[in-house]
Amino acid sequence: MKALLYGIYPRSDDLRKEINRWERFGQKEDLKKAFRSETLSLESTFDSYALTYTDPLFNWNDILRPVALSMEHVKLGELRRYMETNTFYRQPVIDHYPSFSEVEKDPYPYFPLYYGESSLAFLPSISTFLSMSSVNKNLDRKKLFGSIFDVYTDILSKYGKSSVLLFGVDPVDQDEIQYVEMLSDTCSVTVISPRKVNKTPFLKITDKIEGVASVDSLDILPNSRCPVYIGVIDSKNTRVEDPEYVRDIVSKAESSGNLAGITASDYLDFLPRVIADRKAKVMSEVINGE
Amino acid sequence: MSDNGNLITQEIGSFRKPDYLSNVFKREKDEKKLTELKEKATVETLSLFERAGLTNVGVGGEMYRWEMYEHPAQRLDGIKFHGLVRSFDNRYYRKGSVISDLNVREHWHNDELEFVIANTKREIKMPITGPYTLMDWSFNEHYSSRHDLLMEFAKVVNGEIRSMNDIWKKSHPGKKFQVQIDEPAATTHPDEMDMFVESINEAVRGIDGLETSLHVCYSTDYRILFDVSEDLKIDGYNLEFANRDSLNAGKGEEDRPAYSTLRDFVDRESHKFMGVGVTDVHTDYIEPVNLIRDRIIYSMKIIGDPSRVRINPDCGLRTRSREVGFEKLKNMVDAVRSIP
Repeated sequence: MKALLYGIYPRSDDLRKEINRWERFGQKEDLKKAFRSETLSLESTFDSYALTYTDPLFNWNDILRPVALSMEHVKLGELRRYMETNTFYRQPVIDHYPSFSEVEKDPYPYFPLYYGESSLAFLPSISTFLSMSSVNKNLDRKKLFGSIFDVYTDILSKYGKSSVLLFGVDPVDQDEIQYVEMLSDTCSVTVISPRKVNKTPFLKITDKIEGVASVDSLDILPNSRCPVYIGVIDSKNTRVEDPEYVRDIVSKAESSGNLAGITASDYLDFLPRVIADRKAKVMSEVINGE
Repeated sequence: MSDNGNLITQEIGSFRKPDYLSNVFKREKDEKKLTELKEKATVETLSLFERAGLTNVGVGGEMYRWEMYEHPAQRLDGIKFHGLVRSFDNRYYRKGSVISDLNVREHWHNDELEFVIANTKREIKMPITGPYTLMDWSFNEHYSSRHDLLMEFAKVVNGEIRSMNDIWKKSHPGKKFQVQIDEPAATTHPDEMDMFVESINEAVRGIDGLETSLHVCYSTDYRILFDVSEDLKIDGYNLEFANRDSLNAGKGEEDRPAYSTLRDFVDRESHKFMGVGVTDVHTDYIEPVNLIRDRIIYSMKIIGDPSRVRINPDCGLRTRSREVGFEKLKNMVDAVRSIP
């Protein structure tokens, strides 16, 4: 039984203040140290909890930003609402087919995508990256998929990541499936979506990937050929789950199919840090039987 | 229309606080001293609005409030703050968790209203955060559904409006109390628009002598709102348009892309007024008078009856410096006055 934490984890007050200081005084090296130290500290806690996790992405302001900043022909546009939340992301504007770039882009400073070494990489699924972007209508969708896929493989290669979690706000669609398959030839891939996954095309790739979770995990559990995580930890409510209650759900789900373990309904950046920390501990208590 | 026959000009709510207030707002422990600073800033901002020529000066830029959610939430029993949550980038806000029944500990706008009444002779309009936004921006750990929590907030807001209306009636007997319900979250869950309508109607239920407007900003689609307009027991809207408009002058359809949705408004609504946002609050660019005038003329062409048109910035101007805010308001007023 695993407990998977993914995506942007809430920044501590100290780190938030350090970023404010950097915005005013521009001490980039100090900020890099702060990111690294907070990442290492959290990873150490997660290791002691025996959690499976992606990089906490403390340097990501939203789930697209550093990815967009790593691309040629993509710039940042207006703020847009993330799903039905009161959290906003900067919409990427895609003028031409993207390619990988490490050049710093002003006025947004480039931070390396990843600091953590032991963690899974986190990337938005290609269809999510496109649907949350403003895309030049003259660009061919299939070619766009191909060029973003190339950027993703460059990113994974540069940071030496052999495991990746693809996060799909929009379910992985037909256009993306071949790229998920190609990625899974060289990399261990887990797919997570906070919405329902599209059953028919999606289930085809479950023999190629490492794990899956979505809001309809319990529905796909009987038919999935890869292990399924169930999102029992609510990322949009401060009420902290009772480990007994979570264990009950898990034990009922176990008989339905190939259960990987538990995860959260979305990434935890929508919660105050103190609550996210408590929820991470609950996940640990569930899998470790405390 | 205002007394001199021009369109009514109004601000939306917030305006940049002077440094002497913003630097100490969260830190000053001496309540009396802080109140004096709020009063000083309110007087200065009312004066600034009057110099800009506004018909309606609101409440002097909301100098009594730090933030539209936290200000009421801090005065309610039943809400606990666990910490900050991200709004965007490295910007965070305090999102409360509702952990028990909501009860008003202290009224949150009465002091501001009393002070403003005593310090201006112009029309005033009281902005208050609406129940749907209070619900949507809270974590719900206590009530059994979003609807239940929403209706509790609606009752709370009703009590606040009622209390302010009582104050107003003492100084302005027979004159309507203008209240603007701020609902930035209004259209974020299109499947909850029935709930939204129910909560607004509950917030004003049984209160006589009100003129109620609704301010919504940065909606992806105002048709969602206009579709339920008939059922909303309000008198009008104050909405944003300028941030999505072209910066080129012109009164034609192609010149004014952001304002075409006003057709959806008039198609669905024949009585309520529309406060039209004509200046963008997220840029320092000061829209010239002729551009603003063209936006107004185009809007009037669609709405028809000038008594149903009011003119305002898109949203509160707190994001701009006081100097830029003044210039934007001044050009807005000049644009209205330039229309024959």
